[in-house]
Amino acid sequence: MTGALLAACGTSEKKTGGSAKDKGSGKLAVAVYGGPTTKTWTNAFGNPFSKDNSGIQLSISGVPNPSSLLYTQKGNVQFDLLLATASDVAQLAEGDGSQYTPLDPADLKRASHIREGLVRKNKSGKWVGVPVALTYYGIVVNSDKYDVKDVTSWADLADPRYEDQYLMNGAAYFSTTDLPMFALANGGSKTNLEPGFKLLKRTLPNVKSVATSLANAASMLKAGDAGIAPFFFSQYSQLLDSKVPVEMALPNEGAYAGPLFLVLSPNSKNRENAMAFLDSVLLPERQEAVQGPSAYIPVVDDAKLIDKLQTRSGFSSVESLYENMTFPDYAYLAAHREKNTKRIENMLASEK
Amino acid sequence: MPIASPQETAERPQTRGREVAGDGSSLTRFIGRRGWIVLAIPGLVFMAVVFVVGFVSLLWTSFDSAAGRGSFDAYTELFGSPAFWDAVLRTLRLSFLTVLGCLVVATPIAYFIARTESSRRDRYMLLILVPWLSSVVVRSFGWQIILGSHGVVNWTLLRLHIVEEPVTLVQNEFGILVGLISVLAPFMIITTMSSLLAIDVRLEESAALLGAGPFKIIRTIVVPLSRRGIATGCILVFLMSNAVVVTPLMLGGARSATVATMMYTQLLELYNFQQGAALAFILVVLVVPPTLMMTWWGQRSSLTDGKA
Repeated sequence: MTGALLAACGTSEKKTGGSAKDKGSGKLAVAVYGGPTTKTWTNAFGNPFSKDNSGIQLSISGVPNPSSLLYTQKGNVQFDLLLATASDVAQLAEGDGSQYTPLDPADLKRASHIREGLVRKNKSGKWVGVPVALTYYGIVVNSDKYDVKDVTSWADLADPRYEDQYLMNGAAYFSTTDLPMFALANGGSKTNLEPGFKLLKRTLPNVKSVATSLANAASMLKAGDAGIAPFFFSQYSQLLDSKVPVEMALPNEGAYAGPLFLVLSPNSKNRENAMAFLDSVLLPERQEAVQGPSAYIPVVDDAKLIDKLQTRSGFSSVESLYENMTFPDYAYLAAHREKNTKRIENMLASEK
Repeated sequence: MPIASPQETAERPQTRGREVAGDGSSLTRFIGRRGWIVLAIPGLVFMAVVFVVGFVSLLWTSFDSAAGRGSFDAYTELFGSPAFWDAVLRTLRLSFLTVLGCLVVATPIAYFIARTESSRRDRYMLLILVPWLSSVVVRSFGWQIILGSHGVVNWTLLRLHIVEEPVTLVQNEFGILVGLISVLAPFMIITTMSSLLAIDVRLEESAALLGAGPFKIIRTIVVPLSRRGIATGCILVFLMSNAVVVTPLMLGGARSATVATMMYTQLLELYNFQQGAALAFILVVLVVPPTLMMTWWGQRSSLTDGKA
């Protein structure tokens, strides 16, 4: 019900499309994250798709958490395609399959171009969603306060020099993104997260606040209220575009790889249009065009890294970037998400 | 206190409660008691569907676990979690403090507006309602900037040498409290003012003529006669501050979780509907005793609605 209300009241919808006489027909509703993401998706993916398929009435809407609608609007999802994180997709893959429509790569013309290791399959070997973008998660510092060169490991977040300066992610988010990196930095592994909790305990005195949004984080970093925070590269790029004085470090343990997927809703009546849209999103020119405004890393093997991202990331190719990313065990993280979230909440509550 | 001229007294609010009651009784004679019941049925049905059915399904969901229906898992897990108890205490503490803060901020404003000429009153009310034109998100974001270490409050404190270095005024409970009071005070103003308007100002003037000071007038006339409005305001503010999500999320820190923000996490981040429903039900249970207490306080006086 909450999701339905959010979808009904709190969405910003951008419509593109033409008359019924044009190429293609019917409708297609896509849910992405709100704010700048909606605009980026509309400009980089929506408008070119509508130009090529002018008979399809495409709407791209921004919602706070698109994949949550697969649960909250159970069986009556108002969108055909919904953006989801790797953890969301891993959670869907482990479920009973009623929250999404499994996909067959044979229905997707560009399936063979998707880079290895990004696809998530369910128990029947079908695709849960299609990876459409990739970003990575590193550590950002306020360059007016700290030297980015001092940050070489995720364990540096526990350094006393950052006392009351660490902008932490919410417990639910932390459990799937930060925790695996904390574990790796403290001698753990992809499925041994215990050392991650130990490192978190040492890091707690540095916690200033929980970032509730990019705008919130940007204002805190800009004002000097926080000095250090883990961020996705795409968000970091937006901070730079907003002239926030920040620099990003890529820790030795690697950066957390965060692919984004489009998941087909279980009740979608526009499957054909959805597949056409997915193919369109996976075209190399679209994957390159979206990099400017969003800093998404391409997920297909025939798209290049644009100059702006080469400069900002310090890597000259998509391949070199992939080599410096760590792909955690998303399924393991999703399976333990709830338990780990509670544990983190309790740690935060007991640490005064 | 100067004696009001007959013209001034005529301009001031009189016994509005009685006038309304008079209109109401003539309307009741016109429609008839049964007519009122018929008119109320659609509203009652709507409330029953929205509230009762929603509430029962919420309760039902909270007892629904992977192990099957009738499970107390969601509750036992919550009761065993220190973070939950921490959130419960914080929620109640913040709600009571918000009510207190709203009383301090809103009551004098309500009194001032109620005792202003009716032509000006509308303008003041508009000023009170202007912040509602923007969303809570925008207002909370504004407080982040104002209360931040480089915000206007810290800037002033530093310039006046009251503090040596910026004070943390946001990303903690204080920040949430300021945000909640600013968002909810208008509710207190409106409800209190409606009660104050029903008080015959001649009562206050008579008390002053007989030598009562301002505090005695407030204590013996204004508060008892506006008790219902104040209590309604307190209940509204208390209930809303318990359930509010955006303000604690934006102005609270890492250690400032409330029951409502925990519910948000469970429902929209972890998709754990059982625990989300359990938290919602607990929140309802938590607010019942204070709400009943405030209702009792509002009704216990015999000096109500101007019938002194």
